Amino acid sequence: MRILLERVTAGYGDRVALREVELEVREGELLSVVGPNGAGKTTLLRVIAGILRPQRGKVYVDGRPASRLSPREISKRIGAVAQDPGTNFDFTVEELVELGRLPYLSFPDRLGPRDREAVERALRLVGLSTLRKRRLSTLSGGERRKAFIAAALAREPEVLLLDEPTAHLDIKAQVELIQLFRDWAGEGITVIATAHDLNLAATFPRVLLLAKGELLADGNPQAVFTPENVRLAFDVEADIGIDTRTGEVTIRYLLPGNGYQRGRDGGMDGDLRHALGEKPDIFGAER
Amino acid sequence: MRKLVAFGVALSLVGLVWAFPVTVADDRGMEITIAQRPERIVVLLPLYAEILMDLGAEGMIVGLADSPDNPPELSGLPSVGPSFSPSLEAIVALEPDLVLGAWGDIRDKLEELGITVLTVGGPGGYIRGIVDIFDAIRTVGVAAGLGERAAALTGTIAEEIVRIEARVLGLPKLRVAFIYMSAPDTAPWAAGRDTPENELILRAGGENAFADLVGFPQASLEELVTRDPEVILTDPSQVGNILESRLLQGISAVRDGRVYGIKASAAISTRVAEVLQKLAELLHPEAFREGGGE
Amino acid sequence: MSLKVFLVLVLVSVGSIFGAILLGPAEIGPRDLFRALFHPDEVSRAQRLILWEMRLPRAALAFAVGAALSLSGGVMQGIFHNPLASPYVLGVAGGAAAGAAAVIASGIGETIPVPLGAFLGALGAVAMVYQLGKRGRAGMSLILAGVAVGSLLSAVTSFILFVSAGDRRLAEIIFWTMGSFVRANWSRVWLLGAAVGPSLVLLWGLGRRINALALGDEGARYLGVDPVRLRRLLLGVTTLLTGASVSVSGTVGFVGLVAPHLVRLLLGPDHRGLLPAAALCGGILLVWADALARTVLAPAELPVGVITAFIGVPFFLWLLWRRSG
Repeated sequence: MRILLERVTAGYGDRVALREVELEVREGELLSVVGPNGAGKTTLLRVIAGILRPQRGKVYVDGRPASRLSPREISKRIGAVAQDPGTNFDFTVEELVELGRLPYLSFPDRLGPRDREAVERALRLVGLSTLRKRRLSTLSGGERRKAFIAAALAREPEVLLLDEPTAHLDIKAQVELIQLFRDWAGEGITVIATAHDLNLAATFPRVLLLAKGELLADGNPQAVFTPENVRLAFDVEADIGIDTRTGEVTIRYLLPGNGYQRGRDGGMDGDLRHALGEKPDIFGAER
Repeated sequence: MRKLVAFGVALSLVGLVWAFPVTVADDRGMEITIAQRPERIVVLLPLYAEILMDLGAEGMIVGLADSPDNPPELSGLPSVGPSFSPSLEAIVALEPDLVLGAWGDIRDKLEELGITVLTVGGPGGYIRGIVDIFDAIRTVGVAAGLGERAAALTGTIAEEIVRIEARVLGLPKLRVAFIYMSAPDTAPWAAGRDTPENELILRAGGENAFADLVGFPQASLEELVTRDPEVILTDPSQVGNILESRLLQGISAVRDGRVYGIKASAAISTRVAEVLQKLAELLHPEAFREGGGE
Repeated sequence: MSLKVFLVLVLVSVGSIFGAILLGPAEIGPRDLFRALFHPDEVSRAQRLILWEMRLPRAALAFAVGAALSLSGGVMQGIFHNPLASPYVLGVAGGAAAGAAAVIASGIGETIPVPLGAFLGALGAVAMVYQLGKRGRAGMSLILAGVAVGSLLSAVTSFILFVSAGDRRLAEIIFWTMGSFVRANWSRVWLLGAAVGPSLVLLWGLGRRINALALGDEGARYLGVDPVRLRRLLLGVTTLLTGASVSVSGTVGFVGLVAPHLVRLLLGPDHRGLLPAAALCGGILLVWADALARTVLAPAELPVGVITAFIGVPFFLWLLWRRSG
């Protein structure tokens, strides 16, 4: 499934969260989306998932305008997991994953053999087959996150959108997830995940860097993670290391007192404002 | 008074011929047909029990709702719960062919179940005064197949009332308030028009200080002081509450010691003439000394 | 849901109804019930009346009201993500009572207009609470709005009945604000049954989608579920159920809160199992609450709302305490 965003501007009421974004994603790509809070990461996922209509610009899916597709049609092809998906309701893993089949069901939403198969497969893909009867509250953070991802996988999507899938997970769980994403991308599933950890994001072959609603950089980690880009987007000084053998990128933040002096070239805020041609968004945080 | 006598005479004429089925009107103005002489009557209000006793028909009663005003002679009968909220089931279990004095949900349900219910008086079976009592006696009498005895009973009561009224006729009318006060210095409930209390005051030779009100509204203490009644009537258990009210010390009735206890529920009774007599004596003791008057 | 639990609940429901109709001021033992069932000629007319025209419709009505309110409560807790939601707590029942009282006071009629008035009143209350509750961010604001609107509407009900119901006013006020099954008869049972039956099927069929709502609006949208439309439909159904039950029995509080919770503890939160089981459980609870209301002070009768409040309020407080703790 090919996704194309053409000069997309989107937001909530008067607040513009995403500005003039141009983006093309091909089948089986593995993308990470980074940027400070309020940069528009979640909004970008919402626009791609079709649950937020762009105010201006167009989204195309396989060359057809996404606005022509019903939400149900889109949700069959795009599986998405919201940021920090949680619920007051203590479902079992199986009950949760079955929900993923909803786009294919109609009243009274009974699962057919085909649906059961898809649920099985999704459970297997995240490795939770044996925990299916467990309630969410009895799982570890990583397992719970996998259960929600399995619900997205259960509809056998062509694109998987994950908002901060690794947040609050321990390192082992993070590594496991990244490995799973790579496997799925290999099977032709496009994975787009937002991340806060730049080093984690740098393990994705393609990175989108958002700042103040604009797409600042788009490319492989080496191209995106330059000291200038990091400074512009995050207002942080960083050293970028590139492993000459593997091409692997590592980002090291420079803290004041570690040989870094802030204000050397007149302060970040001024630069950033200049670069983006707008006032800083004092409210910052996304919804 | 002459009207009352005429009323009594008319009633006795009606009661000459008696055969079931009979049709009577109830408090809602509905025609109630009683197919045959009732044998099992359940009584929910004390007035009806008293009427049946006075008519010599207490043997028809098979069940009775509890009330402090019930005739003590009937205390051995099965109870169907308190008079203000009787039990539907207890009534039905007694297999009555007539239920007297039911109203509200209980009446609706009994009628739904095909049981004949007879209630007279104002809306909801409320007895507003002597005319309603007569109506109850007459109607219950007809329903029980004892119309003649009922007519005689109303005649006797009417005569007694006329005799008492004649005694106080022409005497100066006292300003009387009939109030209920649950504790000293609290706002009283005052009897206005369309209440048995109001009628008692008028027939005993007084005028109601709260005649501009209807029913039993709660009046303020201030209003009571302003209207300054010469006599205050209340339930016997509440006389103390009035005498002990600091705020009422200045009004005429309290100053003159004319606060009397009188049980109004006893007037919703075939004994209404006795209550009226007592009240008239309290208001106009001069009229009753050495058998003056007639 | 496990079929076994469901079967047990059905059996307990039937058992409760037949157990409850053995209780009452008039002596009727299991043997009389057996005879009345299989040899109706051998029991007296009074016993037949008491069993089939008084106790059975009453138990059936209590059961149906319990089921309706518990269904509503279960759905409301799901769509508001708030375990404290119920028709009574959110003021919906109070709105229904006010609507019914207004219709009675206007003297239009009984059979159709009263339930209709109850439904419109409930709808008004839902709209008010929903709008007020949306303003605050905290989960509590919905409950606070519900309590406020509920108290206001209960005062409105009392006022309307006080000025209009004449000498029946006290009885009417107690009926509509405390709830009672005194007015039970078969036509009321059928009226409510006609609302509960189809609603139960509909809600059971929507169970999975209600589960999706429990994931939050964004989560539901990602599943192709339109949360706004679904919530509107569900609110409509719960309002109908609440209005219908209030119009036959006044406002009986707390059943709609307690039953869904008991079931959630037993079966978990999956609404496909939760809702039917909560309906049965609420029915059972209310049948016994009414049996108590009829018998503790027999032959006098307590408003059933008194009993459910005695059970429900401590439960409500326990939920609050558990949530904050």
